[in-house]
Amino acid sequence: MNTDKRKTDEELAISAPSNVADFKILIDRYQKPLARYIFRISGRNRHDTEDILQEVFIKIYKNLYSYNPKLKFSSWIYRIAHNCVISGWRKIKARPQIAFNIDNDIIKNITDTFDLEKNTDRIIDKQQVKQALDKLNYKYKEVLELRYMEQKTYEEISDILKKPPGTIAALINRAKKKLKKHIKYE
Amino acid sequence: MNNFTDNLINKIESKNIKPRPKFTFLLKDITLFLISTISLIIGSLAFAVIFYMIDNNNWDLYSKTNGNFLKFLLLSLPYLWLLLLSIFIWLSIYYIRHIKGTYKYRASYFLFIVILANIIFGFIFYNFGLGRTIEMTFYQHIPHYRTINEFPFHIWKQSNKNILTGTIIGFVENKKFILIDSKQQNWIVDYQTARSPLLNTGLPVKMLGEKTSENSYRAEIIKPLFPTRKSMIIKMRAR
Repeated sequence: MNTDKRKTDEELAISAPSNVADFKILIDRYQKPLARYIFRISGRNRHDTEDILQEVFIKIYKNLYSYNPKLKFSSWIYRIAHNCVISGWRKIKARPQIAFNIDNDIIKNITDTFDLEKNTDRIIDKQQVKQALDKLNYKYKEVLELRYMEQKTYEEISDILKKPPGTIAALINRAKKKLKKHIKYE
Repeated sequence: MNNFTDNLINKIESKNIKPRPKFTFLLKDITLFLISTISLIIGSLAFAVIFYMIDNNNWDLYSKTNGNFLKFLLLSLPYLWLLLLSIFIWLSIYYIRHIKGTYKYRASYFLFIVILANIIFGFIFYNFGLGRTIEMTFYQHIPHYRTINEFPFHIWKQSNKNILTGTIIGFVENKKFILIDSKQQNWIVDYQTARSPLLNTGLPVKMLGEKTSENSYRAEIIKPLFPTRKSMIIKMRAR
């Protein structure tokens, strides 16, 4: 069958139900980003993450005909990944966890964007930011993760979490305030 | 291709996993739309009944007494229908929120739209007499509905005036008829000095008057329990 790696995600998603080779291209494109996302938001180990990732792709494959091309394909599959992780937590009746595997670029990104040093009159280090982030409620963590680690726009986060864009903006705003407060009083 | 991709494709092929057919998703969308529409319609019908019950409350009889208005109001509210309305408003919003794309809007937006739609369609249904028809049908055919929904005149007693509701089951001499109330108690009603419409056997009525003995009642005002729009228009003109 013809495969064309130059096809967009949306084009591949439309042809994938009848062409497994196109689905393989999608897997290759999204395997690493989704694995990283699932690892961060599930708080599970690498082995479990791979199991969840496989479950996610199978779910994506089964639901390909439900994909609406008006929605960005990446938003759609991140939504499926997010829902799979939450379902997994519900099955074992545990609270959702976000591990927050932070690197220096992300620390700098959050610190600069939130003006943390300016607003707290302190020099901030990675550990302080991580500790402050760990104190946040899950609903704030998931939006911060998508915004500052997955680099998603507000519109994309709205599509992934199925919440109004205004709600996403409000959550990020509140997360910033809480983060500043936690750092200030550490 | 890496191991992960190969393993996944092998699993899909070995287990014969296939994409779900398109029609199943279309069916789901149609079902959601239908359920939310039906919930909206039922909610609007509940509103029509509420309109009717409030419009035909015992205000006319209450105005002849000097009872406590707040107590009268609290006893008069159609709690059963308000509960049903709340349930169907919730159901409408729940299923609408599951329709594609609606997550972009806040829940409060849908609450406003659903309540507004219930009011508008409820008023339309009420004007077509559906409120009256439903209320009358429930009253006549659902045994415990009367007990739940009827004005509790035995609680609301103002001086020596009582409101009594029931159905006329027969006439006796000297301007008296026999009435059966919701508790299946028979009353001999003296309507000699009462203001009343044309009375006949089988007519559900509400009355203001006095209880004269254990099962006797002297009516001052008699009105049909389920007035029609025509009789309501006449009432409005009389005001």
